[in-house]
Amino acid sequence: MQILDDSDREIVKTRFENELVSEVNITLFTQTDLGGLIVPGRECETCAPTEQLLREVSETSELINFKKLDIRNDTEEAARCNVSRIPSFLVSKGDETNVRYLGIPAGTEFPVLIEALVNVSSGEPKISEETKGFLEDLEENVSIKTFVTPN
Amino acid sequence: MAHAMAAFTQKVVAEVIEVQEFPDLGNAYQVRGVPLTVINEQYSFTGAANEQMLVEHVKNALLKNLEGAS
Repeated sequence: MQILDDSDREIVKTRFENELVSEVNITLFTQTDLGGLIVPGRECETCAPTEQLLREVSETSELINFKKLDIRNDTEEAARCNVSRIPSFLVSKGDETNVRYLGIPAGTEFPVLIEALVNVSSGEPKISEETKGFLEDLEENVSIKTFVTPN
Repeated sequence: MAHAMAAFTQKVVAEVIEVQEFPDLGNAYQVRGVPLTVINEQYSFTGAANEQMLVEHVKNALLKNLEGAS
C-alpha cells in the first residue's frame, strides 16, 4: 500500500520539477527488514514506513538519490554521520551531514522533508540576506535540535 | 527553518527529532511541549519561531556560550 496518495504525489512532483536544481541525496539509516520477526531490542515500528515514505518521495524526481544503510552493518558510515538511532536520515548534496531527521516525517512534518530537499538541492534556501550575512559570519558551529510531534 | 540555515552553511547542524519515537531523548531534553528547540545543548525555547526569531535565539545561545566560557 502506498503512503502518498495520488494527489499528494502530484503536488510533490510538480514542486520538485519547478524547484529542484541539482541532485540531492537522502541517506536513510535503518535496519534490515526482519520479515515480521520480532527480536527483542530490535523493535522499530517506524523503520519500514519511513523507508517506504522516503522511497515514494524519491521516486517523484530523478534528481533525488535514495540510499538505505543498515545501522548494524554500515557502522563506519553511521559513525561518520554520527547516527546512533533508527530510523534516521540525512539530506545532502555530497558528504555533508548537517541536515538531519530522526523519525518519520509524516503528517504535519511532511513539508519539512520537502523543504529540506528543495533547500539542499538549490543551495539557496529561502532566507533573508540579513540571515545569510549572520550565518556567513558565524565563527563556531551551531547545533539546533528541534523536537516535534506529527499531527 | 533550522534546516534552511543548515542548507546554507555547514556551520549549522540542524536535526529534527520526532519525540514520540524517541521518548528517551524527550526525557533527556525535558521536552514538555512541542516544538522545543535546543541550541548548542544548553539553550532552549518552546514554540514555533520564524526566521528572525530563530536568529535571535541563536544569537542569545551564542552569548550564553560566551558567558559560560568566561
